[in-house]
Amino acid sequence: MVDDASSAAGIPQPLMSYTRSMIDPSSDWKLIGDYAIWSGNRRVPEEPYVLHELFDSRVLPVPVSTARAILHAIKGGTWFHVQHLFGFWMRADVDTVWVDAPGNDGHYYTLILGGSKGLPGTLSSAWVCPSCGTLLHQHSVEITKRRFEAFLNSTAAQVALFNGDNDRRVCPACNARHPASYGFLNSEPRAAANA
Amino acid sequence: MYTNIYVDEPIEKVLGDWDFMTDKIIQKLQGFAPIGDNIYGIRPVAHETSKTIDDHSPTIGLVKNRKNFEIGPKGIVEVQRKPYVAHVTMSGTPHHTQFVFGYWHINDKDEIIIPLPGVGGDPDHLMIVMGRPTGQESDRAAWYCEKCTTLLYMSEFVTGLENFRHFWRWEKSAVDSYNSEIRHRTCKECGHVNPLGYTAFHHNDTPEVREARQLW
Repeated sequence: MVDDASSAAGIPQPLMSYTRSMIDPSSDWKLIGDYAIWSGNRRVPEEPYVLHELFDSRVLPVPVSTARAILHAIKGGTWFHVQHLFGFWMRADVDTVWVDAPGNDGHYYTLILGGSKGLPGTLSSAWVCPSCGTLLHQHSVEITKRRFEAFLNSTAAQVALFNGDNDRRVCPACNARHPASYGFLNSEPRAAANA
Repeated sequence: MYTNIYVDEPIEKVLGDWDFMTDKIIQKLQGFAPIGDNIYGIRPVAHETSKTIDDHSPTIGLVKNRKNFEIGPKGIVEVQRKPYVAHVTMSGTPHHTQFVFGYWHINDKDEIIIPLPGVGGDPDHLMIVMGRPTGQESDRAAWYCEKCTTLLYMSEFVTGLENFRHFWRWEKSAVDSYNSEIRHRTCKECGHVNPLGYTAFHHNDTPEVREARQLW
């Protein structure tokens, strides 16, 4: 891992450390070293983000922090979704850490994806029927060559497909229609973010 | 929009210990504990200064005014810890936190530290997440000369092969070994005699080691 700024002088120098701030405006995901990290915040009067996990076609909402931060590990292989941050569901083959820290003016968040050697290797996106919990349009991307961007790009393409064809949004199990979706904050138009 | 298909049971029934920031779990994470793909540690910021560390406290409460350092090509540099900012120390970077552990920790996994301020009277906490070592991946305790940054002494623990629960036993033996002979602390390059090392558990401190803890 090389620090680009120092390598400009001609001698590559190792990246010793880096930071990801929850105070700055919500940022994109970045995979550096062992972890892909996203961080951001929701200031009052915006509604807090809500983390959802999928268990047997049922949705489990993770409570929002109050006086103390919440540190929650999403087990690898679990489908999860963060309401208002991204409109699809995702699944990783490694654990994802969810940090929801309260502040005097809102909530501060970090998602940390990674930990075990060589992972994440496969990331998936899908939608969940809000009426019956059926998984729709699962799509997986191998990112074994550190191409986390490939997953981000694939979700943008999948969202465009999903929104572009009303038939794709109809659940084959119960015929309910899923509302229009949205990609990761700052990477996609956010018109449907509050759906 | 998923309220119609929400799980009926409370989250505790579905996931058990789902939030590591509860007092009960923080007690278990005072050291470090491997959970899933990562190793977690949570520390309350319990002391105003290094002078107020309680001899009998069993916990690793942090000192509020501690400083954090890393060693890189430019030598020893202080790194800031800011509230709500994740600081990621890359694998292989020697790092040391004043008053908390008296050696330079070098791991083969990246280590993430996030200071989380308390709200409404709740204490501040420090959250630590690092990858779970496998295979030959190791942890090291090293000591460098405080005057010229020459490597003085190092102990290695192959955490990936050993059970992680032996980590603290190794940490204590590494510190004891470093402290056992003054030649370990004497720089062969500049002759400076460096202070003693200390473990993360201050209730292990002898009076001499406590003095060192308050120095660096």
